[in-house]
Amino acid sequence: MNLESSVLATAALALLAAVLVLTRRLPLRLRGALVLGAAAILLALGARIYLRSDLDALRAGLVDHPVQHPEGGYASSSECRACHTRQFESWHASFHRSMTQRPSESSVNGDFTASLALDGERTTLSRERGRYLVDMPRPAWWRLPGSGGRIQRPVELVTGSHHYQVYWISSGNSTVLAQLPFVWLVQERRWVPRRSVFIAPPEELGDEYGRWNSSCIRCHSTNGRPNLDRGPPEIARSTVSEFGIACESCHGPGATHASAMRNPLRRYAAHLGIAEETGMANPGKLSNERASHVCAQCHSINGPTREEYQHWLKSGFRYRPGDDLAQTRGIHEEGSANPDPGYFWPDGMVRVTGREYHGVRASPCFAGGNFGCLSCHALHKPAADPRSLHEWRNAQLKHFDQRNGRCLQCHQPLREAEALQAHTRHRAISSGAECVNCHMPHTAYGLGKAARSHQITNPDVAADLAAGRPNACNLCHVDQTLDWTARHLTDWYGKRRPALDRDQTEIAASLLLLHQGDAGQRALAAFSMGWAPARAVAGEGWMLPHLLHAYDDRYEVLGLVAYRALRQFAAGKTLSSEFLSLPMEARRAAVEKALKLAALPLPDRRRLIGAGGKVDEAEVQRLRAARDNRAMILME
Amino acid sequence: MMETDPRVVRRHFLFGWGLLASFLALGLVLEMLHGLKIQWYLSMANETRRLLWTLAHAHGVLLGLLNVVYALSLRNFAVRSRRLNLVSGLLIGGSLALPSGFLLGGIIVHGGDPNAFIALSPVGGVLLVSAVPMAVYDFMRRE
Repeated sequence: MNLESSVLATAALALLAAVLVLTRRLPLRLRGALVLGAAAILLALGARIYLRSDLDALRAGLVDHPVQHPEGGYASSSECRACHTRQFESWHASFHRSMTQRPSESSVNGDFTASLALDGERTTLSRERGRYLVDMPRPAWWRLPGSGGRIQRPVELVTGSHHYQVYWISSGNSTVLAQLPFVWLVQERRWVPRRSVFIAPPEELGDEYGRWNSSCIRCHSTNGRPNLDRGPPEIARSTVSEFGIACESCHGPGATHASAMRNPLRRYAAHLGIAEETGMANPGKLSNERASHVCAQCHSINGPTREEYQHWLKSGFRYRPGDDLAQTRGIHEEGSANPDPGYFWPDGMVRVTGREYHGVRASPCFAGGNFGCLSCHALHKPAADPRSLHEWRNAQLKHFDQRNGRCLQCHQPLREAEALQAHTRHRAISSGAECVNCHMPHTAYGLGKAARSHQITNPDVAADLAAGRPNACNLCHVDQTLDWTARHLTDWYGKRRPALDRDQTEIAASLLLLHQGDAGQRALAAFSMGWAPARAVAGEGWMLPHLLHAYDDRYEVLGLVAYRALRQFAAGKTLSSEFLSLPMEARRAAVEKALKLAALPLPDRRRLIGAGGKVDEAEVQRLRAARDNRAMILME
Repeated sequence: MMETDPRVVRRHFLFGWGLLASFLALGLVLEMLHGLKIQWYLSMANETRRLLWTLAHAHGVLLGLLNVVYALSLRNFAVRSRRLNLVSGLLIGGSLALPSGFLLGGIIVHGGDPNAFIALSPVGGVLLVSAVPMAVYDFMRRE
């Protein structure tokens, strides 16, 4: 009970005591007034406790989850909605909004009637009076006393709604959250163990105790304030201005602006262009560099500078949209000598999703100053965009009526079909004449799929091979060798032709990566086999048995990537997501059944297809024996 | 008992029923916009328009009924105030301006703000707020 409540309670008790002590001496009316006064104070006290804000409860140590409370000049999106209805609508439809939510009927996608097994232990999920509950084996982080080997915890926050949904449960220690060891796959509508969705050695994936308060809060909420005391014991009293990535993440704190704009004369003056709307950052009006910094808050690899660290730990970041991000954050250099292999290819190009700023910054287009994130992306769907919100929100890309419109904003000469054909050596209507397929290939990995590199480059077998990265040509021509690609690039564009070994000359580049590559390379190869342009170019049947090899991979997520690829094949459409939980032999049987529906592939050394349309298992085993098996963690 | 000027009674009957019919018809239009899921009316970006037109429909219908009730009252209780024409004019002007402001103000909206026609609504409100006490006073002072 805080001071205010204590004073109220004391006053009420004093009044009641006075009535009892002086009961015979006081006139009836005065006694009545005193009793009524005491009752009114008690009522106020009750209301005060009942209507206690989350923040009050947090300060009193009564809540065990981070609390939403706008402060520090933040107002929350509900204030913005009153005037910026169109922008609010598109933001509301976006996956930014739903990045972090409190659990509710509308926010929870997962099946909370499930009973899940992992390593011989069972986790049971349930709903009770609007709460989402987890009954699970007692984890290592549980420090409170309790009987038996199990704990029951409520879900307090939900992360994601696009690809995965992750659930955070209260840990019993202040507002520190811990992650449920299962993840809901939105597309497949099923639970899988957390270790099955990340490229990391299963034994190295921790239990993610405290991760939300120290890490996720940075980008999955608006103006997150970790309020962390590293202890020991570690204590958190984390608050955010708003759960999810809301208006003020990109436009800055809005309380002053909202307050000023409550005046209708000021609003109409702004509508009529007589007065400027002030007090907010508009990334669309910032320089490309500063606008890209707004995105880079989250879409780059960065951390607080030494000077910023203590402020961050207590009160969050000082960066506000429009500022120079580098003043308060240390942003990793993408071209540094020893790039972190969890984020970068050896040559410094980013290899994970969600960190696109580095690719943009390293692109030649960015150096000119006329290019940034907003050159291609529209964070609010423009009124003239004919697509539905549902279509727009997937990548939040600008709409152009013309194919390659994003690049043609600057590269005007390629607007003509003849020029495009001469440049690409592909028919103008083909996928090979789409700028992004050659210059932004799928060489980044995350969320169970490959994503386009945001570093705009030219295909170059020598450079890509040196970095261990698949080249753009062989991500589409998955049945062709590196030698084939190098020959064409030399003939067409005068590219340097690297020295290649026998396998690189004889076997399809995708198969070398799928069977020999590291876990990240294997995932990219499996994804590319399911990619529609690749299947159209290289055919389907021969790839199915190769994909089967991904299912017994030590990295379980390879099974998910391969399943998603397989589902794109005409023969794989019959496979349901139950496939993911089948034992290996049953998966093999299901794929072999699907194979019977596909046309028998012709023998082809390049595709490692032997006589009778069967995979050349001896060759596959030879390649697998030379596989890059070093432990790998990709920090998607 | 002297009758109220029948021209005033007739004026309010005609105006009241006319207003009622018009804004009931608007209600049908709004239902149709719901039925056909017209995003120009229903989407989150257009919630200002939806609110204004809902207000126009509700106010128009209620003010139409008010005018009919006023006409019935004048017919049943003779009012021979010198202000009768003034009250009648204020009531009709207010009943027309208030819902029209909502309706016209919602056709084109600027973010969360209606267009300049919305100024009709407070003007109509002032006319009605002026007319109603005078009408009540006149009924109380009737012969």
